[in-house]
Amino acid sequence: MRIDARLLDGRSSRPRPVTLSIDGDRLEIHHRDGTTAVERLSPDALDWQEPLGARHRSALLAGGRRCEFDNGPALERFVRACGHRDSPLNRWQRATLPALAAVALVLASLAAAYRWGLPAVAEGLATWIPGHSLQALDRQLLESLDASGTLGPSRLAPDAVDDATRLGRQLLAAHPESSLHIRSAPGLGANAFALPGGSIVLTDALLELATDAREVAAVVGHELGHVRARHGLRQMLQTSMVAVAIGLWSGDFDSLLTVAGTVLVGASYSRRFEFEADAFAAETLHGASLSPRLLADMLRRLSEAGGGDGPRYLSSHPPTPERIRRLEAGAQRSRGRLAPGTAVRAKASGGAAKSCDNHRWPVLRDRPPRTGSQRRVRSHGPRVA
Amino acid sequence: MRVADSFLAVPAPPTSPVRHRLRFHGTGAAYFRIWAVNLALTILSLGIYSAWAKVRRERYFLNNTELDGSPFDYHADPMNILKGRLLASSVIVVLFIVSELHLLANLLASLGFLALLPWMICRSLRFRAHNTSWRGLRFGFSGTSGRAALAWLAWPLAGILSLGLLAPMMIAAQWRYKLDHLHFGRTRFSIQAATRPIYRILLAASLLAVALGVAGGAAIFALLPPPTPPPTTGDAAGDRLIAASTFGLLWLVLVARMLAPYLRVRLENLRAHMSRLGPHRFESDQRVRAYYAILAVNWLLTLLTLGLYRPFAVTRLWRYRIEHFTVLADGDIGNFVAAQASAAPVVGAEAADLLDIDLGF
Repeated sequence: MRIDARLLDGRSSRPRPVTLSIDGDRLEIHHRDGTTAVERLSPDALDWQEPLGARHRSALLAGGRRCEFDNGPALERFVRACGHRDSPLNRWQRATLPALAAVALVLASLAAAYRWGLPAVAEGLATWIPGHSLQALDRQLLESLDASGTLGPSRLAPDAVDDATRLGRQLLAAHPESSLHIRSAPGLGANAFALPGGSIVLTDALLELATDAREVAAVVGHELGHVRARHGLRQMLQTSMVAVAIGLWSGDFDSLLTVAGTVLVGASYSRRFEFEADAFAAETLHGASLSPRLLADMLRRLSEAGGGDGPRYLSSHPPTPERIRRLEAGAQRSRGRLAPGTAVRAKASGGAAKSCDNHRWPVLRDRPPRTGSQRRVRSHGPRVA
Repeated sequence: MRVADSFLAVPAPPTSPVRHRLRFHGTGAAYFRIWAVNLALTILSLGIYSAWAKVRRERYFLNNTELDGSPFDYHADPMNILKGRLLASSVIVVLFIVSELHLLANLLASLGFLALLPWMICRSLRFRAHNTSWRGLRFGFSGTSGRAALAWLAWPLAGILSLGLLAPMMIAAQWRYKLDHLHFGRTRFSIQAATRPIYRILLAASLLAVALGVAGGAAIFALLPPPTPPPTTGDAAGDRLIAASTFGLLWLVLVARMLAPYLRVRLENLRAHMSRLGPHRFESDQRVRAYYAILAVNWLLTLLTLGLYRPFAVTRLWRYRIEHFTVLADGDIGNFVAAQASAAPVVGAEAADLLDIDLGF
């Protein structure tokens, strides 16, 4: 069996026309330009390269020489005659079914990593970051929010603020790392959020919207739930890991895709965290002899005051009716409601708190308004963040 | 043999160069299979296989890229790539941890990274050139870290300090670094990097940016509430202001993204036009409009298929860029001879790969 090839000697780029012939275990190279005598070699002397090229295939020879062949049935017969078999991996790479199986495997691994791996890793990482550096971060964040004019000093009477936040501050007494900040924020409406180091910010509009101190305490309890479970930090870590993963996955496909992806993907985590924080608030309120219904009432009022939930898949918060339903169901179960104004026993108890007790530095950020270039598109209706 | 015969033919007179357009024979479907198997094995091996995957990917693209009847080839040893990747990722992890510790440590880590950058650029170019071959001859790169620092640290700084006025000088310096130190066998590449045409391209891009920025700004301004009478609810006004500034910022990012392919196409064409390999010249005739059309389709389909279209997208773009590149041979392109062999260390190339520094070859 014979086949034509181009021989390259590794010293010059000029190809020489050759014909290779194989007969049993005798391989011969005939130089068609007549410069060299016929070479006789063993078929093993040809080191066949992986057939990745559609048109060409190469085989290496000793001394840095190589032969280039044109692909086709003749070459396949010749390669077989030399006794060479492509590796199984190579045959897979050219077949369709293994490729589809590989895609299925990849998608399944990605889904599993997203569902179980990511939250676990973020939770593990979150416990490693010391609280004092997060509190320093809080101070910087608050300063920059104040400086940018997103937040301003409260315009309410100090006495009114004291009254409205009295119960809330009592709830916080058991959590020294947390602090309460009241700010005017015309751009944010009635809103509440917590920063990673445990600073909880309530807006003037939120205090005005609440009928009494118990409702403010309910909101504080919700934010405290975020702080205790380090939701803010975990969300931040998860979002950045997702961003990296999407960046790697979509490769040269720009930051825009990455941003869009992380916004969509990050939203559902936020939903889970909201439910967790609601559950924590319910427990805390219950422990303080207050009803979880207070948070439900507050949510309802926030929802009526404007905003609306927006499309479900883009909303970083669970739909309010669902949250209200869960809170009221919890209130039904507990039946522990006492008369308004009873002393607050600020002690988190029960299931929601248990999961966070091992965190030495309770922290949380919920949805602080982003500063500068970090700011994303989202609706700014009144809400308990 | 077709190719061999072309060399036996009488060479064309030197005044009219022989045009050798690059060809690409790869297909999205074939690359999709390689990509899928690569990805699955990388996941199953917890990332170890990624070094082999990289070699397969590079070889797929280069083996299917043809110049004058011969394919290019890629020779990197996956084991070396793996070692480089491990070293690079540990350096990055260390720098990251150090930067988290303290403000001063953070500063030191940033400086350390800046100091490493030119070295990585230099190693990366060297690794890639050394492991690429055509007709049995390797490319090579002899640039030094010091000169890379000049082109990638000093000139960018000058560009920033001059508010962009010196940016074309920076681009020219980087081109010079990449091409004046590149060789094929014993033959050197060179570039006559004149800054005037680069200025023209950047000026055109700036004008486009201003036009797009003004148009977007006007649209966003229309969203703003009228200043008088003051809205009864401060919240609504504030919401609209925030929405407007958010959209404004997004629009700026979009404008920058929209202009990046324009710059890329025009600069790539220009760079090819200014480059030489010995007596041979190059031509790149990519079209801005065609390039945008490819990007738009790629982007849309990648989004719709949640990323599964990506191998097809990469193939389409590579094909377009390759098939619009022509070697204008001054007569015969068979006379290249080999340079002295030397192994290129691998670490920098992998660090650069990991950090996604686009080195533009």
